[in-house]
This record gives sequence, structure tokens and C-alpha cells, in this order.
Amino acid sequence: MESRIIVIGTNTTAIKARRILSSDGIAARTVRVSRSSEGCRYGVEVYSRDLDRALMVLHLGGVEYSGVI
Amino acid sequence: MIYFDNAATSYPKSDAVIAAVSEHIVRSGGNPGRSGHRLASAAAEAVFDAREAVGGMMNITGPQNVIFTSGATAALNLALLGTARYGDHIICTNLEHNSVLRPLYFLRRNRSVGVSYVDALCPDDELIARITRAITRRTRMIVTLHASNVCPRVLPISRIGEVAHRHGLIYVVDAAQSAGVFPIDTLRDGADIVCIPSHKGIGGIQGAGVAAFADGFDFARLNGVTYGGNGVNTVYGEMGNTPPESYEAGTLPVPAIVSMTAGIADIGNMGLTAVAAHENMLRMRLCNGLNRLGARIYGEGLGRGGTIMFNADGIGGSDLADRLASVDICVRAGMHCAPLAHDALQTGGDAVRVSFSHANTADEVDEFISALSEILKKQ
Repeated sequence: MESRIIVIGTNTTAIKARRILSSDGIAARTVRVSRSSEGCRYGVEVYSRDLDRALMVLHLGGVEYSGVI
Repeated sequence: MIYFDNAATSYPKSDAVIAAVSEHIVRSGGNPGRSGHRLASAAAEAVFDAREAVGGMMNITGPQNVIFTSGATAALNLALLGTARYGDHIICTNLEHNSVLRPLYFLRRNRSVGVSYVDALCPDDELIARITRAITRRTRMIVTLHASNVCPRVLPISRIGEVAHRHGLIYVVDAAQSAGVFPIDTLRDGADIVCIPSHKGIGGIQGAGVAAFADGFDFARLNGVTYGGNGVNTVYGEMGNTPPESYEAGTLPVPAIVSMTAGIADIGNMGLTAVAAHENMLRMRLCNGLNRLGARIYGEGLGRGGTIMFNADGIGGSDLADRLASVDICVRAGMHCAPLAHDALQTGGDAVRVSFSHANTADEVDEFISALSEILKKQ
């Protein structure tokens, strides 16, 4: 199944994001994102079908993200 | 063996703490925040759990506000050196440990920071009045211990925090001796920054500390004091101001951090009220015995903390501690890294310190008094 990565930033915030998503029933896992010209970042990987809801849940949870890949 | 040196480090560690550390080393011993593989992820999750556990203990809802260091001393260095600006004025007390006094000395010498040392050997009302009188228009911060490491004095941090916030000051609490014994609530107590070690009242192993920042703390006011790799934004020379990673350079002491989660769970099972009451009982039992032996107790009636310092006639504190060690009784003598407190308590700079934990018993206190009596008879 297709997945997308919501780029969060720090490891701590990515874990926080994953736990917020999981508590809302959205399957997610923390991943390390190496494809950044600024160095490593962390994000959460979700199924593509869940992306829109995940972004909303993160927004409501006060978690900012820098992009989606 | 009788272990009465818990102000230095708690002993023994609980089975749960030992199991948690062993389990981590075996099953999730990666470096958190550095790689994407299973072991690194497991370690990162364990560190996050610890942030939540520590935050939960202090009424901090944001795990990112819990910053891990190598110990309480490093946490206090971050809190003090990270917030003090050139020409500031800081208020502390005469009971502080060198983990506060020496950073302040550095600030006095290198950033022209003025420091007022308030005498805390007084009733709480008088202490609050003295702190309030010490405030000037340059005052930026109040830093105090919560529980003394050399006498039973426990400071009224809620009232000090109220004074600090009424005057727009940062309040830093050195909770090295009180975490795991007395409740600390950053919101109720007005504590902006609370610094604790992993290995004392929390019951974890040595190697970690926490600088915990109250919800809403403006991290733009905090500069880091340790620079290095933190696994993010590698190309930038600046560490930034995004907690916690901006303030956690280098590999975290994960086994010690994991031990804190287990230790906090232990404390939760026992209940802080029970822990403090138990240590208070032991302290009173000890004082009764010391008074029967004619020992000189310093600050006996000052408060309800589980630490007592004393001396006996005819023998120096260090010599007495050596004699006690020879019969497998563990205490600490000397100045206990609290030179101003020793001055204020007029100990002569060398006294024996007994410091309890929830693991100590009344029988151990009685045995201690018997052993001390035998030693003193031979003088």
C-alpha cells in the first residue's frame, strides 16, 4: 500500500507526532528522513489514504511539519 | 552494611530499575536520534517515555520541555549559564550546593553578574521577606535548592516562586535532594526550571540529569551550553533554540534515562507522602539517639528533610566517618560541596552527614547509634 512521509524535524517531535496519530487510530511509524540538504530530519510515515486526516490531527495537536514527501 | 549516604547517591537500586536498565542494554541499546533502524528507534521511544515520566512528575505536559543532561550539575549549568545575561543580578541562599555556587561564581567573574546570598536559616516568613528585600531592578533570577543536602531544611519553593513571578523573575529550583521525596509542581510552585539527577531520590542509576522547563517557557531566552552533534540540521553551525534537541548535544546517557522511568514508577507506587514521612521518622529517631550520646547536631529543628549532620567531641568528622566505614556503615564527612551552609551552621568545615532513603529502616538507625556509641566509648 502506498505511503507518504510527513516531515516533522526533530526525533522528539516526530515521536510525539506518531503517538498523537496512533491515539487517533491512524497507523504511523517514525522514520528518519535523509533526503534533506540540511541534514537528517525525522518524520512520520502514514498510508497515503490517511494523509489528509493525519495532517489535520497533527495540526489540531499542535505539531508543525515542514513538508510531505 | 548500613548505607546512610543517599544524598550522594541512592543505594540499593530497586529490582525494577536494574531490570529496566538491563532490558534496555540488551534489547534496545541503540543511539536515539541518530539512525533509523530498530535499535535506534527503540532507544528513542524509551527516551521519550522518560521525558513523559519526568514531566508527569512535575506537571509539565510537553515532553520536549524535559531536557536530559549528564547530571543535575550539568542541568544547573544549563539553567544558570543559559539564561543569565551580562550585568544581571541573581538571588540564591547560603545553603546552596556548589552545583549552584560555582556557576554563579563563574557568572560573577565572567559576565559581571551580581549575586545576593540570602540567609535561609530562618523561618519561612523571614526567608520570603529577605528574598524580597534582595530584589533590585537588575534582578533576573532566583535560584534556590528545594531540600538541603546537609540539614533538614526544606525551602518553601511555592512561596519563593510566587515572589519570583510577581517581580517577573525566572525561578530555578535545584531539586537534587527533593525529587522523589517531596512533590514538585512547576505550575503550583512557580518553578520555571527544575533540575534533578537520575540517581538520588528518583532511584535511578548514575549518569543522567534533567533540566525541566515549565509549560510555556520561552526557549528563546535559553542559550545552550553544550555544542555538538544532535542528529538534526547537521549543516548548520548553530544549535538553535528548539527543545530538547537544541540543548542535548552528544549521545544521551540512555541507560540512566531509562532507569529514571523505572525509578519514577517505583516512587509512584510508594507515594511521595509515605516516602517523606518515612525519612522524617528516621531522622527524628536518629536525632533522639544522637542527643542521648551527646552529639552536636547541626540544624536539627530546621525542617523535615531526611538529612542530618553532626559531630562528636574528641574526634573529627572525617575520622569518625572512617571509623564508621570500618564497621561497614556508609556516611559522608567533610563539607559536602556546600561551603556556605557549613559556615552558616558553624560546623568547623568537617561534619558527618547521615542521609536517608525510603529503603532505610528504624533498625538500621538503632544499629548505627549502637555502633557510634561503641566508637565514642573508645575515644
